[in-house]
Amino acid sequence: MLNSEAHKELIDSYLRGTLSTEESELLEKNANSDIRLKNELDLQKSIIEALRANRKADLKARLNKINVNTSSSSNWWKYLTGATLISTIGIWLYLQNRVEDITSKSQTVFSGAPSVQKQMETLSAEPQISKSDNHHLAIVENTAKETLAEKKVIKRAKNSTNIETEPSLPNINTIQDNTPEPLNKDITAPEGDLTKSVQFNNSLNNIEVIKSKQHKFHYRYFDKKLYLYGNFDSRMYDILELNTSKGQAFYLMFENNYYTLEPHKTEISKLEIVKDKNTIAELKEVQKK
Amino acid sequence: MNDQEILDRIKKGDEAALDYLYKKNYKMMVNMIIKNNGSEDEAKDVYQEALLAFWTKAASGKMEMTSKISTYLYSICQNLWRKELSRKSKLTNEQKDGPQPDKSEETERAKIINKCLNELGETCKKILYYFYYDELSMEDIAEKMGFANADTAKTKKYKCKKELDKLVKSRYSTQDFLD
Repeated sequence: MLNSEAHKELIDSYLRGTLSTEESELLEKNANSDIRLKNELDLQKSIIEALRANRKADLKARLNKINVNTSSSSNWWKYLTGATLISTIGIWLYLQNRVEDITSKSQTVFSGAPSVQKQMETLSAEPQISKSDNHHLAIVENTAKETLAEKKVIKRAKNSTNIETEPSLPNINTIQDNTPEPLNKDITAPEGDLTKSVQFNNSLNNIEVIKSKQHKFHYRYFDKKLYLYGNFDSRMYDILELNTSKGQAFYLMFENNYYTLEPHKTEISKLEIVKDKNTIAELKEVQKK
Repeated sequence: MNDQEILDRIKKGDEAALDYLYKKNYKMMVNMIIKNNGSEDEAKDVYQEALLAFWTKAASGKMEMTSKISTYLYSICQNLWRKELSRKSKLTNEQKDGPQPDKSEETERAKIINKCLNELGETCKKILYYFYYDELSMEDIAEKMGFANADTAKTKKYKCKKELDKLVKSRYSTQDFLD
């Protein structure tokens, strides 16, 4: 005759489906003739069912919190493509504001994009100016020897007649002084050197995770590659991009926290958590998209 | 992450792999059910059921994959949805207001057990969840919970279960059950 503990173990195995058919049948037979064993079996069945139901409910709650529209780490580059597009539109809108302001005052047209300030300064060729209707936007190709990125020159003509003027390249600071507030405060003119963020943008698709005893939560951006130091490959992470007042900024999302990524950190640097509530809110928005 | 990596992580009870799978296959599974006369809520529910069925099977190490995970999930979703459609069809053909089985005693017991579960510490709850639902091995429970080894996990699980039994039984007359 088995003692209570042995019976309990048998019941546990029975309910977990690990007993053989013969053992199961024997236990069921015994339970039919022993009311306490039967009660114990029923109670344990209820307990295990409750445990399973609770765990299942927890996991379902976890799944319900997942934003199914969010890209996973394997296609995080979609963020970059989308954000870059938004950024381009933002810069374009920004440029329209400034061009409109300048043309209304001086009847001159300038070409170039503020995101490539350095290159803009070297831009000296005379772009063709197309005939356009009132308030019509036209994009014409610059005939000068710019890079591919610079070849799209945006102009806005106020009159329906041709404007054959020598393009004067205004100083970026002058433009800022003379122009109204941009349409979207999040997509404002760059204040500093944007070349770094442009570099970052173009090469953040190259990421390597390094497990290191010394550096457990660090990163560096070196040789056009983002190195993440720590236990990142066993968990999910995402790279997010935001258009801030200082240009494009990149963030690492990891375990529901956000960390700033800076392109000039060529030395191994600690990942710094983002504390600013507005930035966090914006990043959450980006994630939802 | 390839399928083998996902399976390896699930076997260790890595819930991030579950999140990953959920997101990755959501559209395909949910669209399949919606195209077959399901609402989005029904589709989501069926997909979650299918994914969790896959999770428990894979976590317990009982699964031998012969196809891609997405193919496997798709077939579970199809089966579950067929069952659900058949259940709904029966409901409309049979008398809906027929006598329902009395489940009040079961419900009452479930409430008592849930109360006792809430009195149990978080660690104990997790161990019991991982053992009875996820069916993780003691080695994996030890690793997940940060215990020294499988023996420690086994001892803890034993004590936690004993504590839960005691709590539940204290709500009933002790002579009704085994000591």
